[in-house]
Amino acid sequence: MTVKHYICNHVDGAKILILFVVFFKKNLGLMKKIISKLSMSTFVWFPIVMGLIVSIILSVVHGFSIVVVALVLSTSFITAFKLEKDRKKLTVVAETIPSTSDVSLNQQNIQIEHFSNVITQVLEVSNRQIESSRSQTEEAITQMSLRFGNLIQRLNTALESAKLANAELPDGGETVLTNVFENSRIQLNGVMKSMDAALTSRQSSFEELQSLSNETDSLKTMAEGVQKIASQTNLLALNAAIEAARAGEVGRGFAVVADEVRSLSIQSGTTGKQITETISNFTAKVENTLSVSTKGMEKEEEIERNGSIKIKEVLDSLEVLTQGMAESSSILQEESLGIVAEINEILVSLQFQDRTSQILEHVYEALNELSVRLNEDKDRIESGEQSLIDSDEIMKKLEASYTTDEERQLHNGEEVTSASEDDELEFF
Amino acid sequence: MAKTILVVDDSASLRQIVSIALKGAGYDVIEGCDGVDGLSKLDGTKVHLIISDVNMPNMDGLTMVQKIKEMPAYKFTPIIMLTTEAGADKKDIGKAAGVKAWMVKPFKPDQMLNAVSKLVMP
Repeated sequence: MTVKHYICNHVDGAKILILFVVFFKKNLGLMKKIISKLSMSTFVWFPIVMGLIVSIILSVVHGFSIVVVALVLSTSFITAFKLEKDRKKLTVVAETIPSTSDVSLNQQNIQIEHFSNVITQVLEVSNRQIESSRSQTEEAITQMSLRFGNLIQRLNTALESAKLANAELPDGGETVLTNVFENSRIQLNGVMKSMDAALTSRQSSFEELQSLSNETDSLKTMAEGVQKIASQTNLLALNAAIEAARAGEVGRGFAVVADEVRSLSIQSGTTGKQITETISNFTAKVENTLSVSTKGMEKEEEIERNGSIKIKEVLDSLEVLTQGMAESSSILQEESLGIVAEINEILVSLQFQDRTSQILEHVYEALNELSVRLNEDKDRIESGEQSLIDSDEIMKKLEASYTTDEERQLHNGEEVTSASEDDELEFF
Repeated sequence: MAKTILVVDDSASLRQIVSIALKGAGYDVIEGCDGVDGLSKLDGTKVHLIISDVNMPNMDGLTMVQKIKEMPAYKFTPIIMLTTEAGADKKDIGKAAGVKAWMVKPFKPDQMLNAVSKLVMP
């Protein structure tokens, strides 16, 4: 069977096929235009070509009818157009992909720059605040420690004087204060004794005076005796004169003697009288002196009594005072020592400022470093380079700057342990 | 005559606290605010003891100690380090440099005075 026979036998399919080829050939330019308009890829031609080949085989070789060939052809074209449609869609999507990624990249860059700016600004402000609070605390603590230092100094001065008052003397358990009291007591007792002695000596003078007054009585008696003798002598002289007158001429001489004796007795009587008067005057004076002295003595005794009572009162209150002072000065001493110890504890606590200041300084340095790094990195990203911020490096640098175990423990998220007493001081 | 102690620390408050404790015990105190300042105070003045911090700006305490040990007039002056550092590595550097004692902040004044009285030069 020849080809012509086939063509003749299956004229319908062949006809259409020939017509299609002829039409395609004639309108090659137009078809090219359509194809270019449709912008179909060569890949899309595959189902069409395959459709044509299948149609040729079906119509020419197997002699299928025009309907079948048309069906196959239209199916192949529909598949081709569907494929083309999908391709176009994909192309559109593919084209939009790079543009959208550019847009998002730009947006990301803007966002990074924005964040970086915000973080840099916040870091700078925070750093200024940290530094300010650090220096303020330092200044305040310096002032406080200065004040506490002054307090300790003043307390020590107070303590010294309290110690001086309360110090025990080398020759016994007495303190200076009790010693002052003892000395005052001894001295005042001395004054009392000398006052007593003065009173006693005055008393003995008084007694002497009294005995003198008694002596004047005997003098008075003696003077009266003299007067009596004078009066009796006078009487005797008178009798002698009478007896002489009776004797006459013989008794003349005796009469003269009797007369003289009489005049002597008169003189003795006058002298006796004068002695009595003088003694009376003397006695009156002595009695006067005695009464004045008695009054004075009574007064002095009263004064001495009052004096000793007063001195005792003064000594008693002085004793209470010195005891009180000794007690309060020992309380003061105790309290001062307590306060000094308290202030020493405060001085230990105040040193924590130094620790926190160091920690803040390290935080400050870390934030500063981060701020600088962020700025550098921003410039790098803007000029299209990659970020060089390395968190490991920053963390390592941060860790290396630490000066306390506490910081290292905090850095590693470990529990902070306080140093034991033994770790605080070590001799090499 | 009162003995003189050089106190070197960058924290003014800490220098103050150390000074208070030392002056209270009858010592004279000279202050330095860092290693460089501390060295500048060793100008021939008789110093019986040096107390220094470790971490300071300009020159750290351990470098200062090494420099002091090169000074004929001060190489035998006892040195106490007073620092927040409690790590063995720093202590070892100090020990090798000739430091006599290591005290960790915060210090107790009594404890410090005890160490000072043990080490201060006659």
